[in-house]
Amino acid sequence: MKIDIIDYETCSAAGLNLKALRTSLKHHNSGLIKNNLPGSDLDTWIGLVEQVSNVNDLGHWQSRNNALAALGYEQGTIRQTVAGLISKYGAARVGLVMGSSTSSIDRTETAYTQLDESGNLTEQFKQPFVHNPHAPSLFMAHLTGITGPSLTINTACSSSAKVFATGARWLETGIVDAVLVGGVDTLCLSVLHGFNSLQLLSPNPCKPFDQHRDGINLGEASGFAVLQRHGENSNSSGISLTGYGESSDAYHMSHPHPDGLGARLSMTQALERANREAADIDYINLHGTSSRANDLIEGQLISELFPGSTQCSSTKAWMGHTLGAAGITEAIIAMDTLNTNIIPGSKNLETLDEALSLSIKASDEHKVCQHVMTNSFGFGGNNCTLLFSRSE
Amino acid sequence: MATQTESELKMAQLMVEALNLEDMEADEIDPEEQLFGDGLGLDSIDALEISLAISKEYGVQIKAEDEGTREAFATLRSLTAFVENKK
Amino acid sequence: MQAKELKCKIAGIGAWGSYFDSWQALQQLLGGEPLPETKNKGPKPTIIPANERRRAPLPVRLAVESSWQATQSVGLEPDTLTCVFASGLGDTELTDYMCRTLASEHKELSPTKFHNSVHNAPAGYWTISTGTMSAANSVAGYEESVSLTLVEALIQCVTEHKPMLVTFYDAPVADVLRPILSNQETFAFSLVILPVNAATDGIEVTAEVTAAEQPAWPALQSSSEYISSMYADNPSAKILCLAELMATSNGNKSVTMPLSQGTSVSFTRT
Repeated sequence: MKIDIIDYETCSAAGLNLKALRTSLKHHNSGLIKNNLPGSDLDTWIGLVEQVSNVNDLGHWQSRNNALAALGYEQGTIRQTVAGLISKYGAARVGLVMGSSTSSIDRTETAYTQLDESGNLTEQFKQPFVHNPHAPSLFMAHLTGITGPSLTINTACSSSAKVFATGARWLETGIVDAVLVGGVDTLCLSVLHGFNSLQLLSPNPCKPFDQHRDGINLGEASGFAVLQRHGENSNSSGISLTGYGESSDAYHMSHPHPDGLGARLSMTQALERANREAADIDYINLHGTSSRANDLIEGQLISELFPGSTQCSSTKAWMGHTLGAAGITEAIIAMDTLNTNIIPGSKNLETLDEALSLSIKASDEHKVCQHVMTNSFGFGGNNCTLLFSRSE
Repeated sequence: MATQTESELKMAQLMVEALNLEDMEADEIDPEEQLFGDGLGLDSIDALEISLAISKEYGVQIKAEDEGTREAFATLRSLTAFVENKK
Repeated sequence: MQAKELKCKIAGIGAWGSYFDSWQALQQLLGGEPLPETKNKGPKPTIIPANERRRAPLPVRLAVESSWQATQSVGLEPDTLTCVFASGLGDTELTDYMCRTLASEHKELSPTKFHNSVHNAPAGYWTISTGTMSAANSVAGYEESVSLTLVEALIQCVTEHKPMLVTFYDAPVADVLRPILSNQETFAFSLVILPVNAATDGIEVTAEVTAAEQPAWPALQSSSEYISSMYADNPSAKILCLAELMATSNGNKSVTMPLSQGTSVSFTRT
């Protein structure tokens, strides 16, 4: 299979846009700060996108999630790219697939703090398009003018990786000529207190794969990519989606399969679909959340499947675990290595977990890559792996 | 089945409520039976749920990663004793 | 580019609601039979292991119940199916619980309720209960949840040659959100969708996506007030227009659903 990535943009605590992210990656500047979210005196670090608070003119679409989506969509050339495709093919021939786990629950949280004396929603919060799981796509369809099929995928942390697989299949069947895929998730009390209840948060900046890691940091992000069938747009980024794998752990809602069986399936499927061997993969952006369980299981699996020549890292120490937006945020970091020729190191790694022996280091590697992969594993044992290659 | 003490019964009631153990009465939980694995069949999420209920009821904090937590959660008896000591 | 033909076989159906506990029972209601006197309790699908079942919220139990029925009706092992689960409204009771707790002084959330609050909890419980390691998707499309999910599943069936389980489920909306998301009914419906050349028998259906201006949902044939109001308010119940197509071997051979603002999808029994 071969689906061209025409354009892509990312917005997270590590950078308002791709250009800023490249700078942060290059200089190893993390966007993590000590948690200061009002209403949560939890001792942890977060990846907050400060500029989101300035986006407050969305009217009845207002929510932090929609605001971050709008902010991300303003970056780079993504808006112009989509507008051009709508112009060329017609709005109904462009599809939209968004991934998110919070949807806009931030707004529902706020609404509940401002109920009237009878315990009912007050006027400004009567937003049916916002308080439902399809909110991200409803908003983006409104913002972009896309009138083709538009679906929201909500599979926790694998959401905005799966959007690529769905977009690719829609293009293959010819129901659309271009697909805007994206992801957005924002920091809110639900996720902070939720992950805290699972005792998964770290009071320190996260250290994926480190012997002394003690939990995750949460972050927020939005990201977008435009997909088309191979060769149909000469203004492509030079990168193609050449493989994907999707699987389930069938084990536990919030604990990964101890032998990584589901993750093994998603990774091998991606390789098969791309007709590649493990040794062809130059770089893998790992899920690497810095939880004790995930990193151990994922790390061991990588050693079993990939040779030492496959360089790996987790980039969550730059912007935190952005949940439903992690898929696309990290897909973009992975695919961008094909443009920058720099593999970002696994930031904050000091002492590799002694049970692990994969090729991972804190420092960057300068390498001209041909094929890269990215893993995203979500609650419910939902796994997705993507494989990107140079287009030629 | 070993006899429950009064505080063990109270802890059993807390567990039944917190975990929605539908097929079980609080006074049916053997204080010496394994809570996890083959015994009552609880898992790590149940442990966190019980910890939350204990912290709300008794003000005692139990962290999964702390030393002594594993042993504390072995049986109803060990859990009750653990919480009594920390109160 | 000429769009690929989206052809498949519908081989198994499952359904559950307040007044029906199977596809057969739903067909009777669609056919004009009066409502039973009492509402169903549950569901409590026993395929979910006991220690998961005790903490499974209603949307999970709904989705698993109709999914199980559909797979059993066609005699296929659940773990051979790739699944797509869709809910237009999500679990509003859990949203209500979390927002209420977070608006109060004591913001500690139940870890069980939190991990149950992910939109893909039903998909998770299904794959855990049945040992299914194939891909599971969990989607939402608001009013068009049904048509979007059917198209998504059909596309996956055709492009990846996979037998699919498609499940729609929506539960009554929590009080606070009811003024804006009106649904008060319980509804779950599942289909087993197979590639056309699969050995198992089924009703062959062809789907076609076409351009359309602000398309609307078709009227149902049923004159039952219960059925009509559920169809109007419960996003998952929009499947009833396809269910009517499956229920009658004569009469309408085709139904057209809105897919998006600018497209519609027609399903034709071939």
